[in-house]
Amino acid sequence: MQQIKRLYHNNSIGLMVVPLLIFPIFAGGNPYLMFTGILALYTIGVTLTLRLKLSSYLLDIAGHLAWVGMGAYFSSALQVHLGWPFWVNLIAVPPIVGLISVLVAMPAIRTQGVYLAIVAIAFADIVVLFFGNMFTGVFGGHGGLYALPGVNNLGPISFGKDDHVAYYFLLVGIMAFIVYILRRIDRSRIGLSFRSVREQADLSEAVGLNVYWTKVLNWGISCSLAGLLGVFFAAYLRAFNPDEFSSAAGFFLMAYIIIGGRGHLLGPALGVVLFVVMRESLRSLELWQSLFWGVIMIIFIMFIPDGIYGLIKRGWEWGIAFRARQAAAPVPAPAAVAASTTPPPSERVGPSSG
Amino acid sequence: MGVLLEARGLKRYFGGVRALDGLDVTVNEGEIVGIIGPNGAGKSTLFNVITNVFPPTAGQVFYNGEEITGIPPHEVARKGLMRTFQRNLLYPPFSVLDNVRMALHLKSGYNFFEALFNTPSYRRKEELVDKQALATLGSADILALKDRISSFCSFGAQRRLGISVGVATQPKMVLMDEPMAALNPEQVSNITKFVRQIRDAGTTIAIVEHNMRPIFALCDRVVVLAQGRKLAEGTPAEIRDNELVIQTYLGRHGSAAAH
Ligand SMILES: Nc1ncnc2c1ncn2[C@@H]1O[C@H](COP(=O)(O)OP(=O)(O)OP(=O)(O)O)[C@@H](O)[C@H]1O
Ligand SMILES: [Mg+2]
Repeated sequence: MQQIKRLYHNNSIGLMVVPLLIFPIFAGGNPYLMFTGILALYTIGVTLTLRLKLSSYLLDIAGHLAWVGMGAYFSSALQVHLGWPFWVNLIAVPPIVGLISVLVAMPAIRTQGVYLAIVAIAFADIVVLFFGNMFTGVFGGHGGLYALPGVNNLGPISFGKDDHVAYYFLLVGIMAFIVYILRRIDRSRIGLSFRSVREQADLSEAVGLNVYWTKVLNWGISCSLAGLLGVFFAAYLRAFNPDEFSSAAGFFLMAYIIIGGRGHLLGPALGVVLFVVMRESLRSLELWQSLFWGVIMIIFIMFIPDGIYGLIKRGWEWGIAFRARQAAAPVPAPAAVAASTTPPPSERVGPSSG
Repeated sequence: MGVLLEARGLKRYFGGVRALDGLDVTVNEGEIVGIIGPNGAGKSTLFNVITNVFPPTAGQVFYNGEEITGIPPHEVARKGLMRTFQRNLLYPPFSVLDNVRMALHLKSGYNFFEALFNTPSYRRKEELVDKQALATLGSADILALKDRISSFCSFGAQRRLGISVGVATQPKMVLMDEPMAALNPEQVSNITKFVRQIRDAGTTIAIVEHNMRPIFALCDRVVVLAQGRKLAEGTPAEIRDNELVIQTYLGRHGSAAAH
């Protein structure tokens, strides 16, 4: 009991478990709802893998889908042409994607700041061009791949076209794995070194951290987890084309992250859910939707830079402070008054002698 | 008492600016050597070139009997030559303890998979690191602040933390860039004690400072730089009485502080 409590306490991810398990109970009979739910969950997964990345430029986000796409294409090709079962691809493909990402990033990571973002975006579009134009017998050209075999049945569990609930729980399992890895990284020295590079790379270098390899490792993990989601994406949709992984498609990721907020794992998830709900209810706007989202993005960037998560958090903190003030206001305790009139000890005196 | 650090004919140009212009400096094992000089004399550049934040334009650096010219900064640290920064670099959003845990990176000796899966051997290593981190905070007198976010600590505590980050691994040598800048007299004397304590624990120190009183009190030797060159070198007493130094630096800058 104590442990369950603690799990819930320090683990806001735990808060997601209940809705995740309840969702198929009320949506299970409705294929359209299940489909929307699965794609939303998949998108949340993509934003989670993206959040790990050290680079602080929003622009790199647009290139991230390339790695999802690579996972989708490789696993489809291996399944169709070499007969590798989905379950083998699920384990084999992410490391391959990770390795390629590392090879691509090694020269790019040496460049600083915004150049890395430009390389990331350019690379995404090279990936799209590659899958759209090369080895069309394997990758299907611009039309993409279709009629893919999907997930191989696992013993009594069937993964047919209409088995949305089975796919749903497969994705929940994959997400659980990703969250586990991200949490372990976050709570270990690996995460400490990632954060240290984000905060003050010069200092990290001076205490002996190989900053370059730390960045490469970080990139490789993020990209291979994105590839893992790509393996699922291909098997669930059974049809996709290269444009779904272009930098243009990647700008939607940016929208989720900006709207939801970057401060917490749950921020982008909020963004995705809000986006999906809004899109469904704004169908009547048709083409005007893009304009609507553009305006929303500008409003968020200008006035709510920490997103909805940040808004909720500030509201929450304000509520706590407000209640505390209400509780303290009627009868101020004498001790508190005394304390508040004593000037705070200031250590920063003395002029600079430089 | 052998030579621990030696810079030979060190030059570093930034475009037309000759930040270092043919400098020879040696530091012997166990010494505290002060490096003083007016603003822009090249003191910080000297540290940056020794630790290869910038490669030298010309010249060589030897440390502990081997040449370290041109090896990357993290390798320099690996050899036991640490540094602190003029702007007192820290990881602002980290707790005080996490700052020092990061500073103990070289002592942690973990590999990726054992850290990821939190194996017993990883946990054992981390326990040792944590013990050493706590000991470091104890000797810096900031143990009580261990869980505080470092940017929320007082100015003086942040400075002690910055020094602790440099010396947490008990390095053979540390380069300190203005550890006392902008502190009040009481804090200066605290840091002075702290620096002496670090030396007594076996770490050789080169220290850049504008505060003359603690420099003359602490140092075995003082090197005076001006415009990237060595202006004078000697014991604190010799430097204090050196006409050239008084004219170019002390006279203008800190004659009051020197007495
Ligand atoms: N990264 C850099 N790029 C260009 N010029 C630089 C750089 N670093 C230092 N310089 C120049 O080199 C000269 C020496 O600077 P340095 O920082 O070493 O001086 P300092 O002795 O540490 O001065 P202070 O006492 O003000 O810290 C200065 O003229 C400075 O402008
Ligand atoms: Mg300086």
